[in-house]
Amino acid sequence: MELLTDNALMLQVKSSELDRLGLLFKRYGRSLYGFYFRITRDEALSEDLVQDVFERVLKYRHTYRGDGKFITWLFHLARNVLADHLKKTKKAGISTDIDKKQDVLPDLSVPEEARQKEEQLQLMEKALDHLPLDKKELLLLSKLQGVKYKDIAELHHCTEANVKVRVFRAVQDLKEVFMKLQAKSINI
Amino acid sequence: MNDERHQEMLLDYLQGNLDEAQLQEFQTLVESGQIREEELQTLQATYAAFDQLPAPEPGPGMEAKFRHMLAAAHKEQAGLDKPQYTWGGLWEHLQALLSPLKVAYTLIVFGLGFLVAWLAFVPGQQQYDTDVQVLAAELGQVKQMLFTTLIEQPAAVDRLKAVNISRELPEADEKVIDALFHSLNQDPNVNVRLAAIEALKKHTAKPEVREQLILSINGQESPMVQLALADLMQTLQEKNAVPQLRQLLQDKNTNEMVRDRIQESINILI
Repeated sequence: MELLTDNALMLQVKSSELDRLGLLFKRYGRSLYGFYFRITRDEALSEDLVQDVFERVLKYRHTYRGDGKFITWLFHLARNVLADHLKKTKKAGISTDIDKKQDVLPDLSVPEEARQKEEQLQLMEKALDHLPLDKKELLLLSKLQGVKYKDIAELHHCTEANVKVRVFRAVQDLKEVFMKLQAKSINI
Repeated sequence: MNDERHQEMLLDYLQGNLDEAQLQEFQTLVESGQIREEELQTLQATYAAFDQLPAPEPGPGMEAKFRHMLAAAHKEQAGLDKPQYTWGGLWEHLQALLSPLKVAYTLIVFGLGFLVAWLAFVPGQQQYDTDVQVLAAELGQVKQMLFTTLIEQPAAVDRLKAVNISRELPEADEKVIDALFHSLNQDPNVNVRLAAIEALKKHTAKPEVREQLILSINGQESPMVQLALADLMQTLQEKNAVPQLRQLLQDKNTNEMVRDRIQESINILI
């Protein structure tokens, strides 16, 4: 059986076949969670934000026209949910300082090579957390499967070339932080 | 490296999106030193590490929460699907109903419904009888009123109608009988008098009616009325009328034919 496209599924949701949203959740729930988790580093909060996004999908389903890519529309809602959350936490004076997160101690029972790889990944996660939110968000969006620079350009209301340059600069910044963190870990 | 085109190209290189021609161009840039090799390697290492980051896995609670939310949305939608009654909607329905064809159809359906309901819930026979009696009494009253009104009208036709109506009255009271005798004795029109005789035939079971009929014989001048009364006396076998009939027989003004007939009646009565 041919898989229904995101657009077809969303149009069915729009025409009150709400169960179809379950398939879209299966396709994009994890991506959204990853996007939110890398920004907030909070599992429960990330799950809540994903929930918020799908609630908005239902709430604004009548506005879905189906003339663009579903994923662009979905991440447009996701970015709004994130912006609203950040506004709320800022207003409430809640600290979202990611540096307070404790570093995980290296597990000595695993082989050396695997341990080194694990350490690199942890450094990369840490390096990501040192980037400003807009650059981090841009990098995370570019890493998502199915999201093209054209889609990000649509989300950011700019040209595709402009997005590419901004992503490259974000990669450059990431490299700087990553290198520093690597040097720091060797010195320790 | 500050060149935006180079930056775009570098990103495509890191992501493996360059085609052969672009790759050759890129190599030339690296060889010419426009893109520094050392920086390229650190960028490659960084991007590879970034690209290898595993996707964070949500807990099982996320899907459960989603299912719960979806079920709630279903419930809400079911509530919204119920018909909403608004004045606007009512008006639209009324407009649809107001087309002549639909009005006719509605009336037929209503009439059939009424008939079915009438047949299904017809009141008890006793109630029915009572109603009929009431209706009959009311009809009788109306007829009596009509009779008293018409009998006084100047036109003979109206008076004739009144006399005929009196024949339909189930129980004529004294007023009606008096009015009929008044017509029989006083009415200028022979036809009205004859009709009065016909109407009074119905009440001949009453002795006072027969008595007045007998008295009326001598007051009549019209041969037709005289004959009708003589016949009636003969039919009623009213021997008390014989003196009156004889008196009429002796009257010189009485018509020859009437005399013969009266004689015949007297013979039968005696």
